[in-house]
Amino acid sequence: MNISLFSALVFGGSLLAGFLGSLTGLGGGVVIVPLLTLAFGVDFRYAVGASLVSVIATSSGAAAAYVREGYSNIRVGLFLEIATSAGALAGAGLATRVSTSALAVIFGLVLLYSALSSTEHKPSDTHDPASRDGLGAKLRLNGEYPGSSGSVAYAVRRVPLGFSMMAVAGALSGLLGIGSGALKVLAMDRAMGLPFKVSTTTSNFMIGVTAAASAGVYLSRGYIEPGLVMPVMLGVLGGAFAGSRLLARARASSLRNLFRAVLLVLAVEMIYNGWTHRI
Amino acid sequence: MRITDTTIERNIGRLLQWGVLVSGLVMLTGAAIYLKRYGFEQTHYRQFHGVPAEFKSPAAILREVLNLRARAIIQLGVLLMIATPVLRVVFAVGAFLLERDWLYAGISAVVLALLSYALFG
Repeated sequence: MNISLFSALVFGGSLLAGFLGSLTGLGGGVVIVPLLTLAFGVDFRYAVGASLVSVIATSSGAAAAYVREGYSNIRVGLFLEIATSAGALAGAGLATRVSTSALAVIFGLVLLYSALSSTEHKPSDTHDPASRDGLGAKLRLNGEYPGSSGSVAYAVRRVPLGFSMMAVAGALSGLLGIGSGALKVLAMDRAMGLPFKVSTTTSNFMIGVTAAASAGVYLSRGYIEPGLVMPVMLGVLGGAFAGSRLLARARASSLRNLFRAVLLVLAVEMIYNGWTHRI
Repeated sequence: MRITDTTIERNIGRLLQWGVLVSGLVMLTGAAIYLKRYGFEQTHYRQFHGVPAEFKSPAAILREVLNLRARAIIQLGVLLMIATPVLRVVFAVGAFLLERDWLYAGISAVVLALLSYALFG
């Protein structure tokens, strides 16, 4: 295939991935690596490099919209970012020593989790300021967000657990070239008891920083191929932009189920191809 | 204190969007030159060869941009994209120093050190 045709096809696929990822809130990054490796036969390492750059693009592009809402907790984000950045460095370092077949299987399992995990708010947790954690208070992680009737205070708990989960999220990001958004939200919302909206917006901020750490390592290793990054990043960016414009109007729940089904199929494909050493 | 945090954040959010836009435009420029020069050559992404040294480090990329190498211009777009979240952390260090919040100035500085190590280490 010549470079023009290849770029056009990859651009189209990435456009769709970015569009669906932003519409459904599941993120486009998880689809890029399967798209490139399974459909276009691209080497896993090049695919991860290109995916990382597009993950930064969607995170930074969405930041302004998220920030305007006033939910993200920059202190929580920065504190946990120590764990994710260190994890990302370790993961990116490990990526050279693990076979691409093994990476494909791990990728498939993460995809499976993304497809099955919920992005909806489950109102089971009470974010009671009285249940505050000593460490959370000491680190001044507790905050407040704009509620319907004035600002609502919240407290952070189980800081060490959340911190450890973030290190894993960072390692997966460095290993697989994804944003690990689902795991980050899980760590903040479920483990640390942060309000859901605070978790998702803070996660968006963190995704960009984590991916930047991984991307730095991949760039210096020669895994970021400009000819491949170019159609992927421009496509994802265009798609995400279009998706965010549409988001206010669209009822995305049926679309989300469709996207989940796609993720499931890709997960099985990745695991199968990794297991049989085709990747 | 939260109010100053939000005001700073809002400006940073806008800055990030500009960063993404500039990076995208740089990459588009590189893409146009790249496709014009090499559009009809065959792709070689099936096997991993690794990218040549002149497109791997920030210093080398900037040098090759001056020679108008298409792939270097695309890589400059990549560097700008990587720089947007890094810049956000740089601003956080500054903002916390202004607030005399030494704990969080320190925490942001650790994150910044990890990011610098990733890029230049």
